[in-house]
Amino acid sequence: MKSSLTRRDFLKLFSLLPLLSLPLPDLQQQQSPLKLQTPAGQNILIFVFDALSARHMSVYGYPRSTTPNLERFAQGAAVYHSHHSGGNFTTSGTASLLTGVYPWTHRAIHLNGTTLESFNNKNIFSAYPQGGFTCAFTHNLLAEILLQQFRANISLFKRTRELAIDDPEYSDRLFASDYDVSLVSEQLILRGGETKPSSLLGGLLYRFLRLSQKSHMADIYGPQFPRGIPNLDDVYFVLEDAINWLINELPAVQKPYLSYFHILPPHEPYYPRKDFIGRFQDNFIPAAKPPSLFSDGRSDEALNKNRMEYDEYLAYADEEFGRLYDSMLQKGILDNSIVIVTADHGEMFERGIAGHVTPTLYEPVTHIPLLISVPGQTQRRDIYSHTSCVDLLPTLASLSGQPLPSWGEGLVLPGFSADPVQKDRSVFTVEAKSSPKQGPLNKATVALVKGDYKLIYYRGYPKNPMPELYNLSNDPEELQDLAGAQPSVAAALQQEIEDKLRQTHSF
Amino acid sequence: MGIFKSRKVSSADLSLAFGAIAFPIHVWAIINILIIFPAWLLRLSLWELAGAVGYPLLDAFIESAILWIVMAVLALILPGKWLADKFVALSSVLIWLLSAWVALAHFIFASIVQWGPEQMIPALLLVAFSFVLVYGLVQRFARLESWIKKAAQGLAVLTYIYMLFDLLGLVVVVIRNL
Repeated sequence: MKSSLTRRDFLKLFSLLPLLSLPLPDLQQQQSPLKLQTPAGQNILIFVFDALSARHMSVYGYPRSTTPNLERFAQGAAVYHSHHSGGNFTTSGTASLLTGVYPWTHRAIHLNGTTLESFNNKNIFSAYPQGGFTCAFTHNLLAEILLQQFRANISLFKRTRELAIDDPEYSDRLFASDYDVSLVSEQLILRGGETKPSSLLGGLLYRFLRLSQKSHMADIYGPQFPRGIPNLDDVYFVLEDAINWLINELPAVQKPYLSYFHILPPHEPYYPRKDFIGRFQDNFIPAAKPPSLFSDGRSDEALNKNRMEYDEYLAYADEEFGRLYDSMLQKGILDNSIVIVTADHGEMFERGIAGHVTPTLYEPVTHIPLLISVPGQTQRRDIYSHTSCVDLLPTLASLSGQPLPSWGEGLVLPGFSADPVQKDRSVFTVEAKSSPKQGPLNKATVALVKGDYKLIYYRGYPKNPMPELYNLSNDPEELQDLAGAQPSVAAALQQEIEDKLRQTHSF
Repeated sequence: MGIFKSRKVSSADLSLAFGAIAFPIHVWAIINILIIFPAWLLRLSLWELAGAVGYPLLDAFIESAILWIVMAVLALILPGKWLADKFVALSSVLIWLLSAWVALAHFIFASIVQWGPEQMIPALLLVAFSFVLVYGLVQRFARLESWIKKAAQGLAVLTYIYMLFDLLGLVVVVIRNL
């Protein structure tokens, strides 16, 4: 009897290695799938602004007039005043919106990340009936990776580059079957980012080539965009192109449809059109807040300048939305469409931090807008209950007379449910970029909003920050940490978070 | 045809030169892969990780092959004394020098893009001079050529290990795109 492997045996075993990564059969997928279809065959249009904080929108009471067009839209919509994102950046926030579950469940928690494969057929697009038309577009490559993952259920997938003025990405052209991983590699090979480009010569040639291309673009678009041409991850665009495409193509799309449209503004860099620059040179000074333990050391003066630029960019995005809104009104699209306006996450300019790339989960980053207009609605309806982006999928299911999705972690939104509002509803936001995709979230931040309170819970950080407790009813700006003064409230909320992490095998 | 025949580089030298040329390209790629690897480890499955590493390795192989082909073609078309007679030493040392300058350019790229002609022209002259100097030294001193050749032989062994990973990378990339 042979006691050792032969070379042939070894090669046979080696060839089976890739099978290790194949997903285990998902028993939940055996259940009858959810299918969204509104009773009267209404269209569903989901319009997502990237990095739009409700705290910066005049429709929610912000002193600068940043969103006059959304205010017009709100006159015939339900306006949710305590709506929260599932994550604090595009991947996790968008994945929660699309799948109806929190990041600890879908696990799209990293830059360029995807959800677990079990969600390939458990999302808004797959829930739409077969034969029904679905379309999707995003400026943001992180969101595009998710759309690519759900592509089997998207009838018209408008690629980012199709509405960009310049997009050097090659992964989707050369390696479409392996888009998410090849894009990760492409970024390393040509752009580097966290490292230098791994392509020694090609990387340097690429860098010089991009300089030349950017200079050419600046010659063309510079006069309209003096601060810079809107871009992200080396993809350059003007918002007008995407809005024009929607205005021209939406009336012609096969009906009924579900359309997901995710624009980049007001995500950084904040490069508005020329006519918006200088719009908010006022004396507005936001409430002074103490620096966070995770502060980047930015001065209040610098943060206020960032805030002003963000507000200008938001006003520009709002004006473009207004153009789309007017076109939809004029063409009668709103007469037979549910229009949802929301965001994937917010943005903050306080406590020494600008942006949303932060382990903190203060309200400006997690509090996002949600406005829903249904056909025939002529009055604004303000709803103050706590809601989450994971509620969107069950709400659409409810509107279509379907049972709630078996996998979902959300509830039907107040205003669309016959059930009484749950006043003790818990709403979570999760940040876990430094944790593994599989297994416990050993370094993470979780925010829990419940009743009057909000707890921000940190786990696994070297500075070992203590949980922060705020009473959002009395202190919406999160100025006074009550964790020391009300330890029993903090402990109860912390326990709830830890229980939730345990339930989802994340503790 | 006789001219080309006289400038022919032996297959052993071609192979050795490829190993020497591919070495800095691969080392650079591997260092950068290793820097980002812990972040990838968090978010990618084993199979995705293999793909993410496979693409840059494949790119390093292609980049090495292009440089090697350029050197081989130059050896074929230039007079034998210029390159073909000392192909291993000259092609190796010139590519090593090029790699060093390019790596430096990556590190100071943010400064380079701010340079005007008054900085750029002297910098380019310095780079050109370094190539001329190294080329002249190898042509002039046989012992130097011998040392470089020995170094190339040593490094080529390492490169052949990298080639094995390149090959695995190719297989992974092909399977992932099926």
